[in-house]
Amino acid sequence: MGRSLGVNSVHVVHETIDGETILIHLGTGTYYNLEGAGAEVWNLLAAGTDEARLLEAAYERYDGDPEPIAEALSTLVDELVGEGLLVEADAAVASEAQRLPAGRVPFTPPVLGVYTDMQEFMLVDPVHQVDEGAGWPHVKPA
Amino acid sequence: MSSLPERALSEFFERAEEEFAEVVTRTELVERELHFAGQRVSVHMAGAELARTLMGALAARTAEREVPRLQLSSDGIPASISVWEESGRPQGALPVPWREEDIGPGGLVGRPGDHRIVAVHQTGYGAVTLVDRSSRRLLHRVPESRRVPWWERAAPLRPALFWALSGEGRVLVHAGVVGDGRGGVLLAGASGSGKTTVALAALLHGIGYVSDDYVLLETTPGLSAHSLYNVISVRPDPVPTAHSLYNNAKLDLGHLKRFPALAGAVIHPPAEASGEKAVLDVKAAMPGAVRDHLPVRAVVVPRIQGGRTRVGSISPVQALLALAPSTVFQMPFDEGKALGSMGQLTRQVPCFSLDVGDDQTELGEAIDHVLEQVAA
Repeated sequence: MGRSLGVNSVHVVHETIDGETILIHLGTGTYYNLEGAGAEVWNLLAAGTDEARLLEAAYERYDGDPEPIAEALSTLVDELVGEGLLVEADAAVASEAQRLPAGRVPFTPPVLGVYTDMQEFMLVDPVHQVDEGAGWPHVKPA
Repeated sequence: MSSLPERALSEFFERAEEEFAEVVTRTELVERELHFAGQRVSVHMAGAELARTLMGALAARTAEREVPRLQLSSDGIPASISVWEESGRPQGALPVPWREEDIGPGGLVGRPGDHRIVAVHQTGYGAVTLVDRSSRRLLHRVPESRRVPWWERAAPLRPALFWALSGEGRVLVHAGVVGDGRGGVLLAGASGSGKTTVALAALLHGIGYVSDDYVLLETTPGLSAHSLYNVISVRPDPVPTAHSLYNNAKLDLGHLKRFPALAGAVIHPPAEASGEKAVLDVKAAMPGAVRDHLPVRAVVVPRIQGGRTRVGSISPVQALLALAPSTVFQMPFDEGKALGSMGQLTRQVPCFSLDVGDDQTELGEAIDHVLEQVAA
């Protein structure tokens, strides 16, 4: 039984268009994109599918040896967790088994596109300058 | 991020309202009525200097007299914003009830979910916005009017306007818009990507100007209402419409030198090497070229390149990658709804890349070319 995961909805917003997903992490200023199998897998995970069910669905969907598919998806999930896009969730909140799109397609290992160019922008208006004791309008000592 | 009890925010809202009422007794109350896309927002400011500081960029939205209007928002209640200075209270301003760890991305305090009261703390210069979502009353407190930074004067009250104007099918977007009778082109990209350079080049090419950085985007197909000579026209509007917020443009000094014809429009001339941008009053300089709103027929993603200007097709996701992050990072208040609206837009209209070259005439021609391609 794999991990039960969910979207880090406190900090992450996402949108899928024409089979491609864009993800934005509000806390870090980093944004991402996923294409092909990556976008399909993301949407399954975002719906609350745990890793075990994800693999079952992937074996149905993608042509290819199970082992490299499992390895590539495990790597992707680790990356998504590492970037703070997915977080551990209670198994109880995971939804019923979701499905990938119908039909079998060749498996291409997903690549998480990572964009950090907005991080500098995020620092222009930092949000953590408040003195913890006195509150606003007192600026925290440097 | 810790969770702040909603009760604490409700109590602070009430006390802040009392603070505003107290400050107003010591100074002049200046009231303005702003109109955006058929929506009315009343602004009540404690002090003439504060009003001058914040209302300059919104002059084009200020109604000179009451006009009949069609209220289309589902909530139906016009929003009101009360604005005052923390320095207006001699005994000192009320301290906020939250702590550093309560402040999240974009200055949002806590995680509002469906809470009635929402707070945004712009700690970059110390402004606080409080929103009562049920009554649509908003409070905006700044430390001191003379300490309001140039970028806030150029695009004032953004969090307050976000809450006042956003709703089902309406979202504030960080993008420019230019166009004419053929439709509008939405210029998408982060600060420094060339939105203003392209918008001003288009303006000097005879193309109308809505904005260089923030617009209210209406994405819900259906009816939209706009005042016209005191008469309301209602028409089916099948494409998203972009509405102007501020009547100015912000431009790096280096790029300003490309537009000598607009030198007279500069109302905030920054010192060399200050890092600040020049602010141009476009409405005052070329009133005939400024448009309140345009239907968006294309998304264009500029990129400062130098050399020749080039236009190419890009996918909806490529356009969304340029459009969405800077909007969502600046105004992450609606749990991703803005991202969905922007995704809808990029699916709905053709999207283009624009390599911004050195020749401003070429840039204007490029926008003209896009408008020709997408004209309805």
